[in-house]
Formats: sequence, structure tokens, C-alpha cells
Amino acid sequence: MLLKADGLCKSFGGKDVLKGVSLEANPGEIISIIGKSGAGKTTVLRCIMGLETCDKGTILIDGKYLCMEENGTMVRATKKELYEIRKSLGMVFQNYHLFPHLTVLENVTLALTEVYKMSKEEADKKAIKILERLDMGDKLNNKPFELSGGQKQRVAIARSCVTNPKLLCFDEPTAALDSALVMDIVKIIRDLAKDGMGILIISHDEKFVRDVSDRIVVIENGVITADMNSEEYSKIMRA
Amino acid sequence: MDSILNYFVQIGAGLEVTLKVFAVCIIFSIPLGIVVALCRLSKNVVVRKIAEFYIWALRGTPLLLQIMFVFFGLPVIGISLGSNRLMSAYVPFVLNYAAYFGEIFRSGIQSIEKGQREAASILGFTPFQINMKIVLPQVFKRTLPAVGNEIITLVKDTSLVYIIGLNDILKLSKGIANRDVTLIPFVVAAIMYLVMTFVITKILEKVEKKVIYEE
Repeated sequence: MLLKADGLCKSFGGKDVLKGVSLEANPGEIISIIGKSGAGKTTVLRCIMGLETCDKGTILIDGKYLCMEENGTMVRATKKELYEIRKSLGMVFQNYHLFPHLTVLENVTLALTEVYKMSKEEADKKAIKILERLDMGDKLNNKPFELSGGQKQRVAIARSCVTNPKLLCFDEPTAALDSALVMDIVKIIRDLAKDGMGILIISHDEKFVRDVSDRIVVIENGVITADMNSEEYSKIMRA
Repeated sequence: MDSILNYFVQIGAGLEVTLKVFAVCIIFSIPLGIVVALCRLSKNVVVRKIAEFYIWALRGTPLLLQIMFVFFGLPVIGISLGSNRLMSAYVPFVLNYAAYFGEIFRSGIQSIEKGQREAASILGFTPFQINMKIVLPQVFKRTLPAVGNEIITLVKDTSLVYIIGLNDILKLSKGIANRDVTLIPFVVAAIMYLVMTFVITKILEKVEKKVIYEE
């Protein structure tokens, strides 16, 4: 199992945002979390990414504990452990958060050369291969401001994939894309899953979720209210 | 005409002091300003409070007073920077400008959206790598106009070293004006300052164009 989150609770300023969320993901599986604004979707994702600390619950990623409850107290991964866990994770943010001072190629290679201490030639080779696969081979030397929304997203995907994460998360991947580009992103995500990557998506887009997901999890007021496959979801959508 | 050229030569001798104070201040105060900014944003309360006090004290008192304090005051309490008057100018200039640069860089660091730090941390960057490779290069670009203003102000502030008897452009022009009972040396000094600020403005414009990118 790639991800096991059990009984996650999180509150902000006394307001309970997550009230015992449990979730599992396997390699090659595409799971979408849907729900209304404020339901707690993004908070689940941020807890899994280690960007927020949950108040209660256990998160196990690729066999390593990000946090766990032990005798009623929360035990969290140390900085060093978090660093190791994050090698298994990748995230494509809603606003992409590309580094604006770097070119497309540098955005993708920076983690390889700085974090993974790869040589520049090797990093360039690996990054170019991924960027070409995402049809961005002709934009290597462009800065992010010269790209369209869809192109920025591809760079963000390439940047996240280049470190070979086992679990890749997408926060609202279709929010800034037109319908033609949504079909492209469905294909890209399906290809990544075929390579064995686990995919976790947060989205409002019902059609996109139906087209791309193997499993759909519905979250309402911080609680998971449904967990179904895409066929079941399609039936509900049609009804 | 000859006498005006003579004034340029005589007052030009003060350029050495002016440029030395300017260069030393830029070379040391900008890196120190980055350190001050990072301390000011530190999660460690003691470090943050020390940085806040430093900025408050250095920005809250006149640079002229700080120069006098270092040159006249420190020897009284047994701290001497040696017989080199220039050293007594370098220290307050660097410390004073580092406080201003520190606040400029702090605002620049805070202007970088949190999401970029988060994206980098998920990619495995350490906080130090995030600052060095992602935040500071953008801070440099974003704060360039404000830093440029400070650099131009510094050119003019160098004239404050007259107080400790250093022969900079302004002090020499004042001496010559008294001697020859004429205002022309002041005009010559003004031209020299204007030329320096013009050159610096042009250099800053070129740097700004080079690092430009939209966000």
C-alpha cells in the first residue's frame, strides 16, 4: 500500500475541518477527492504532504510514518524522516507555483541538481525527456510568464515527476484549463498511473473526475461520506 | 577656464575617499543586510528581537551621530579602530546601511508567495536551499529599485565623513571655496556627485533590464 491515512483530525482556530478522515491508495491507482468548498479536501492533501500537521490520526506513506498516534499522543516524523518521506511525494499546486526567475528547464532540473546532487548534464537529459513527453520540448528556455496556463501546468507536472515520486497529488488540476486542455491532462494523468505512480486528485470538476479516476471519495464537513469506483459515480451522476 | 579645470583636479583628489567609503559600504552592507533580514524573520525570538533592536537603533539615529560615536565615542570607552580614520567611517556606514538594506530585503522575502516555498519543500529542498536558490534571487529582482535608491543616497551620504576630518569631495571643495572666496568649487562638487549618480543610475537600469521577468 502506498498511502494509508487513518482517522485524520485537524482543526483551525477551534473549527474542526477534518473529523476522522481515512484513506488508502495503491500504486497505479487514481483517486479523486471531491466535495464542496470548505469540506476539507485541500486540508487532507496538505496533511498528507506534510504541509500541515494533523491533530490526530496516522499517515503512512510508502511504509514510512509521517505521523502516528501512540498512547494518545501524536508522534511526528523528524525533519530528516520528513525529508525522506517527501522523496516519495510530488504535488502539482492549483496555482502551479513555478519559480518565476528560472527557465522551464531550470524549474525541472533544480531539484535534481540541488537535492539529488545529479550532474547538470544528467539532470538536463532527464528533464528534457519528461518535458518532451509532455510536449514542452520547444519551451525549455522560456520563463514561466511566457507560458499559457496549460503549459505552466505541464511544467509543474514535469517538475513534480522528475524526482520519481511514488504518490503524485494534484490540487484542482482543471481549475484554470479549457475543456480541450482538460482532455490532455486526463491522458497525462492516466499515463503517469500506468507507470505505477499513485495519483491523488482534488477537484470540483465532476466530468473530469469521472473520466480520470479509478476511485472517487466524497468528503463533506470533514467526513468521508462515500468511496466508490468511477462506474458507481457515473450512475449517481446520471441519476 | 583653467581655474575651473584646476578646481576639478584639486577637488577630484577627494574622489578616493568618497569612492572608498562608497565601495566598502556596498560590498559589506548588502550581505550583512541579507543576514539582518533573515534574523529579523527568524523563528527564534531572541535572534528576532536582537535584529529588531539593531534596526531600530541604527535607523533611529542620524548617520552623522553614528560616525561621531565611532570616531570620538568608542575610544573614550577603550575601543579604538586604530589611527585609520577611514576605518571609523567604514564601520558606521556599513552598520547603518545594513539596517536599511535589512528592512528592504525583509519586505522582499515576505513578498515571495508561500506556495513557492511549499513547492520547493515538497521537492526536498532544505530551508537554506530554498532561501539561496529560490527566494533570494527573486528578492534581488523585486528589491532592486529600493536598493538602487539607497545606493544613490549612499553616494551623497559619503559627504558626512567630513566630520572626522576625511578629505572627501565636499570637504575639499569647502576648503577651496573659503580660500578663493568663490562658490565655483561647490558647483564642481555638485557636478561630480551628479556624474556619479548618473553612472550608478545607468548601471542599475542595465541590471534591472537584465534580471527582468514578469510574475
